[in-house]
Amino acid sequence: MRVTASAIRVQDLRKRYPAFRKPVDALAGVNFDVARGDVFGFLGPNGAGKTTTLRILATVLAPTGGGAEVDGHDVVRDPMAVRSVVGYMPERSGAYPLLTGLQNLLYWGRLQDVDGGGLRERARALLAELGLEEAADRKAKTYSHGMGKRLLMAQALIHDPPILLLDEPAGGLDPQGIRFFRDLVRKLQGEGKTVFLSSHILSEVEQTCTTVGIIHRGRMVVVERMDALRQRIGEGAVARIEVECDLPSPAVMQAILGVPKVRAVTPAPDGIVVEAEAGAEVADEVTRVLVENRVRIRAVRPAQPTLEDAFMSLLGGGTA
Amino acid sequence: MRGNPFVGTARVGWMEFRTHLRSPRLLILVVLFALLVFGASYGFSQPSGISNQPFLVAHPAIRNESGADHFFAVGWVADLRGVPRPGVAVSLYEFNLTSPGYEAPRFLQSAETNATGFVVFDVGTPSQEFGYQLRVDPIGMSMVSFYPALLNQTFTSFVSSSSFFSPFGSESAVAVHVMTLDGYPATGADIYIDDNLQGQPNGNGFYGGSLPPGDHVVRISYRGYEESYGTYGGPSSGPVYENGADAVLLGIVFTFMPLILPIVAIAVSFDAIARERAQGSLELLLARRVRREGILAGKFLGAFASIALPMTVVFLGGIAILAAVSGRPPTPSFAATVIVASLFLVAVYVLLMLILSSLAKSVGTAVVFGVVAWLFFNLFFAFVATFLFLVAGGSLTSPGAYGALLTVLLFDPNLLYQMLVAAAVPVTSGSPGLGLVPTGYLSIAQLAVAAILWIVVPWLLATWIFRRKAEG
Ligand SMILES: Nc1ncnc2c1ncn2[C@@H]1O[C@H](COP(=O)(O)OP(=O)(O)OP(=O)(O)O)[C@@H](O)[C@H]1O
Ligand SMILES: [Mg+2]
Repeated sequence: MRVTASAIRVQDLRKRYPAFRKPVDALAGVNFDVARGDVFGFLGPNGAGKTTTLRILATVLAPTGGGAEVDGHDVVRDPMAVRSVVGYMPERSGAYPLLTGLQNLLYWGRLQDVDGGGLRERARALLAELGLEEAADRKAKTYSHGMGKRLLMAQALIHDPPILLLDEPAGGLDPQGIRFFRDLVRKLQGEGKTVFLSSHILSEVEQTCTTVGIIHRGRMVVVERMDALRQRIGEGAVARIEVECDLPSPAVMQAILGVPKVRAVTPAPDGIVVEAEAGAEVADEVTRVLVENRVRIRAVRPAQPTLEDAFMSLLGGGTA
Repeated sequence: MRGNPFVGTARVGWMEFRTHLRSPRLLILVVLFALLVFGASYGFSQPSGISNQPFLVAHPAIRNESGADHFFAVGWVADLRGVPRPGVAVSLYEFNLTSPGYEAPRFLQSAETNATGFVVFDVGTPSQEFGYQLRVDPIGMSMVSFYPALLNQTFTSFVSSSSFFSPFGSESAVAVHVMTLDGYPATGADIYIDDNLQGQPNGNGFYGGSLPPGDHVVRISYRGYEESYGTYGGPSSGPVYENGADAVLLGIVFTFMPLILPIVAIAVSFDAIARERAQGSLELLLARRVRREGILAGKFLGAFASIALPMTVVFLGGIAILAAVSGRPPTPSFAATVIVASLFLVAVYVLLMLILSSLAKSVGTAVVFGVVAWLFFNLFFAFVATFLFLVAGGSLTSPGAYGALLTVLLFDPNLLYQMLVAAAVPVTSGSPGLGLVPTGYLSIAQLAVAAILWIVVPWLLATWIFRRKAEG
């Protein structure tokens, strides 16, 4: 086996979709590296080019410019080698509806040259691990969205690949499902696998990812270690607190504005939003003011920096 | 280093094959196909074309009941094979034999034939001046008269001969009906053709046999009385082709094979790619250790095998029926050619559908493409080619120009299929027969090259298009 530093290396990757009048430049020169053993969160809003990138890495799609290597194999020159080391979970369900979950897995496994004897046990074990034990012998068309996602995950893992390409693995899942996939990704990371996963919700991936790359309109806006990014978002953006409470009187609002570093107080549908200077910790002080004025508080939480905030902050910081 | 381009092809093919074998779609098509082939094998291979058109014969009968003669008109309705027709309405008419001018016959009564096809009318004591007529509309009529010499006879008889044409050649048959004078089937009568005893009538008084070509005398002899008829057997010829069973197969190929084979192929394979695209499995397939041409080859082999297997069984069944019914199996090499050529046509359409299915973004579009492909080669191509040929001043009677037209028509796989089959018929010496065989215009080698191109070119086109469009 060849040893290269990066599990995935993408250089000046371009993809132009032909169209009758106006071709779409889905990727306009994308560069990034994914280190071995990393969990890389590939973030971007709808239509940013995430799926396009993943499909090129999975050798489903051919790039129109630039190049990409997976495990040292060029996706265009040696797609078969790439396919051996990659497990790809597409965004949309792709199972054969008339086959059972198990039959689907067996087919994908055989196509991947997983040896005949161990394949069936491995497939059963994977289905059990993914919580599909009881549905294993049911036709895939009877699966719910979440079950379909789990089956797709199983087919990506059937040949035990060192590199996983997961396109929105948690898309459309309930909080439990999201947690399930988060735990699964952690486990895969523990096994030393490289995981490349896309999402358009930062909060969905920030707990699992070691690195994030943000793509916007076919270009990488930033590629950074998660901890460094968190810090930057924290630095750049205003600190916001959402307080769920009865609407305070104007006098109380005024009192909150008096708290040091607080910049603005605005009424929200079920309470107020307090904005303070970046990095400021004002939650305790604001709570104290409200309690003193006998405003009933149901919840106080620092607002999550949204992906939008991250963009704003990063674009504003001149990284793009 | 490219490696084996067909890694995984067997798996993809097996999957496709299994999917089709389990689908009601293939089952319905195969049943339809089997009905057509079995029906045609049975129908076209009836050993004789003897018509089942019914005919009516009438006999006078005299029975002595308690010392007095009673007179009857006996009618029998059957087909030329002697199968009786029960329940047929027969009318009895009376007409004046001595009247100088025309006098319309007078209706007396009507009755239906019994289970053995007979009807008996009691005509009392007829006058010498009157005759009787039995009529069955619209088959015809037959006369009955009670003339004095009748009492010297021991039977009355009826002889008819007719000629028939079938794939096995033309032949003539004779039908004889003999009744005793008292109106019962004359089962003891001897029937001779040219003084050779042929046999006796059956329980209904019927005898049927084949008649060699030329003039013959049919003689009936019963209890010392004889009647003779001169008959003529039409020229009997062998089949157009060496073996009549070959003609049946050829007939099947030329009547409906170019219609039904493409339908089966198209209906099975129109969505081979489009279905996978629509359900999203194509994307998974493309990310697996299978090359694009490997996927396509698997799709082709799977779809083709799922049609070829039942189709070959149906063909063999049809040939067995043909052989059993006619007693004459087709020439083995010709039968094999028909099967191989049919599989060739199926392969061509499966390939065409792989191309169209790769282009189709949805299953609905794939259906439309399939219908258009069928219409194109079954309707438009030959018409348009011939029309343009005539417009361009070509003449169908000039051999050179006709050969040129045939060459153009090779671009239609259906016509190529028919030419391949026709060129393989074992022909009786000197007669190309029926004008179906384009021998003399195109050589077997030219047909073979066209057939190979019809596989190779669509395959290359299909891989080219699939590579470009698979991901779309
Ligand atoms: N087959 C295609 N033909 C033409 N344009 C396409 C095609 N697939 C994607 N695009 C365009 O390419 C751009 C990137 O699409 P892509 O699917 O990669 O985005 P994405 O980041 O995965 O979005 P989402 O979060 O919605 O899944 C979009 O503008 C999209 O419209
Ligand atoms: Mg996407």
